[in-house]
Amino acid sequence: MVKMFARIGSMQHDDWIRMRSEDNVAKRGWNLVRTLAICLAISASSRIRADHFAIDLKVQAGKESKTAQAETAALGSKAKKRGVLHARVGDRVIVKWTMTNKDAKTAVKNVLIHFFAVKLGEIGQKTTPKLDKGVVAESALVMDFNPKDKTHGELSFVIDRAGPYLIRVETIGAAIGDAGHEHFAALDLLVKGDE
Amino acid sequence: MKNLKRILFAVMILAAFPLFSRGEHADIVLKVFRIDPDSGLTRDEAIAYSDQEPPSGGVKARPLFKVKAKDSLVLQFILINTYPHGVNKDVTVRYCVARREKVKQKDVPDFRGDMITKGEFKLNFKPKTRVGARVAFTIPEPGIYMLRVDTLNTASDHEHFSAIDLQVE
Repeated sequence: MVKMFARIGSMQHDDWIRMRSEDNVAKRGWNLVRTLAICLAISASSRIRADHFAIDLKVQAGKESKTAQAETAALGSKAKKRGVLHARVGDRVIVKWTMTNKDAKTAVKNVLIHFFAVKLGEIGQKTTPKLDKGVVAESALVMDFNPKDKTHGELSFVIDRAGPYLIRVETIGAAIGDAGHEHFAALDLLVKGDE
Repeated sequence: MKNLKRILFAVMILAAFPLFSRGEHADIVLKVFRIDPDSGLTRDEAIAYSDQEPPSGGVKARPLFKVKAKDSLVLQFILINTYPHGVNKDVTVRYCVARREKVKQKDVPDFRGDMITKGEFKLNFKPKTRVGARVAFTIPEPGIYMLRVDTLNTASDHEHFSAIDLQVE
């Protein structure tokens, strides 16, 4: 799905935080101020990036439900242990997610919001499986996120094969600047029944 | 007098523009596949393209895809917003597989009710915005069903949809 989208149009995103920092520094020219400004810019932009997107992911299966919030995906970042939801074969699974640009000033263009539910080898598996088999549901949409803009998705489906599954919603193209990163929220779903 | 005629002509063209532009807001490709459950390979498929309402049920012939109960099926759609003039806020794109009484049924299924599978996305539509989904499903009981994807709240006098009828034996 994502590959299909990528073929349709190229994804671009603003790099304004880095550019703005560089412009300010160039205008001042004092070495001390410059050093301080760079430190502040790096620190501020890290905070801004960390807070860019809020994700609320809620998965309901049968009478049980679980939620997950946004994490960041970047080089060196460690993913938290995912929550585990239990279901039986034939239970209706309802996934609701909301993605919000929390930043009051920053627009992020052409962000791809990618959702998928895919079979895992085991609960808690650290690597994300390739989406060439075992995919129960997948969706993708592209949107410009002006400050405070949000998008919402809701999918209802039935899983008819027992096993562990990963349910994940993620951004692609939301990373801004050299230290940019993507955002995601994920849960594991253990489906029990006849296999 | 000449100027008045020109102004009248321009007003008429502007008034008629929405009529000319009908059908140019969304490009939808909706597919349903029957797949091999073990290999995931496609056995056969049906495809439908963008239509619009009103009139209820659209104007294009709806494909009919024959399957067996409990076949492994996959629905897939990609919708591209082809309206080039600005952003539409809070547009809904939704899809479903729902039971129907007969093939070519024109009314829209009630999305609040139980369905085989369904989903919706709410987002701001900018020019060339893309929305898509791919969902695996099976239909446990024989009957007539419909796959449908449609738009809501596009600030237009019509909405776009695409549909395929399923005859489940």
